[in-house]
Amino acid sequence: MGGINIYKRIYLLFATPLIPVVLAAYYLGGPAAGALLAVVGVILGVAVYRMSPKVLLRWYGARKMSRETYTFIYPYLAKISSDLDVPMPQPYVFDSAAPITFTVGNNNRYYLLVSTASLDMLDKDELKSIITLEVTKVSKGSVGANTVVALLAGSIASLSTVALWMAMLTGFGQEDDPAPRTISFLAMGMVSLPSALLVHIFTIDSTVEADRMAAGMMAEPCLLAEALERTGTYIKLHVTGGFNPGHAHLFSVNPLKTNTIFDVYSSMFLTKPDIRQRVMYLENIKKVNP
Amino acid sequence: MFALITDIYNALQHWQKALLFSFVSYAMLLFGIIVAITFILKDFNFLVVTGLTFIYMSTLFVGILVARKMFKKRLIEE
Repeated sequence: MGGINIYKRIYLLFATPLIPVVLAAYYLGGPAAGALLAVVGVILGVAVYRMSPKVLLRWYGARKMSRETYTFIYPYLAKISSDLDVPMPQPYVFDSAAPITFTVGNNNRYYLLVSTASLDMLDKDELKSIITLEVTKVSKGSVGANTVVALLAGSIASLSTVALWMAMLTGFGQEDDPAPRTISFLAMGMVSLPSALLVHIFTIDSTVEADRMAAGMMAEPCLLAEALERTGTYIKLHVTGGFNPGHAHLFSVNPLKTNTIFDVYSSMFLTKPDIRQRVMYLENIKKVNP
Repeated sequence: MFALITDIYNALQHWQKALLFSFVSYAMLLFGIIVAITFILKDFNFLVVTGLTFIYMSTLFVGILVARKMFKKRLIEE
């Protein structure tokens, strides 16, 4: 899939489930039914693609970042977007104990989501380096496809949470009891495979290129390495999951961990290079271009 | 025998274990489908169940093999 361009990838994403459904409708209901379903499918596909960034903003309960509180972010975003000749992403903030940052959007409207933990933990320069990294992802053109895949893969993966809640509500016990956890584990076994395949087939991982480009744009490339290292270490030591694995490809640092057997499905969603490799790579850039 | 199974299981990487559990989860779904079909037909029809099992398990096996190939190629291992 590496050679397929972004738009072909998105068409393929929606056409793959639509074609068999349209053929079945054609077989069962004739040409009119097939044509009707094809039109409905195309309209639905366009709607899902266009609405995916807004849905993800709501999913994370993101709110617009205030210009007064974070005074340096708006001018810095405007500068870096203008340098890269891309539309300026609108900065949003969301509540999370994990220092994660990501960008969603399509059709020249992009949204930069920064968690409250990132704002608290990273200093001004480190935050700037992470913002640069996110804007370079926009310039690489990978954000549109990754956003819609995050919505679809995330929705599929969250069906296991539905199974967990149904098990709890039907009297199988509490969240940490063996029965609901086993039901959730089996449900995750069913939903994580298609969800992970969606992520692997249709997303575009531009991590290495974006790291290199962002480091090249910074006055001090080591700041990005430091920010990534701090974020990765914090997540490793202090964050205890709670991420939708279908969204992991969006984040600047992979937050998924496999600590227990119940987390084993997270390992199917690893698309980013290890944080140590990324840091080492950035430090080598610094040595080559001191 | 159990020691051998444990050794094989421990030798698997996390994503391979995940794929194995996915296979088991889908196989358990087949059990549910067979139970539902038996209730609908009000009898255990051996031919129907064998045919369904053959088609379902073949599709599942091919699907898992395709997924394994894809993960092997694209997955970043821990």
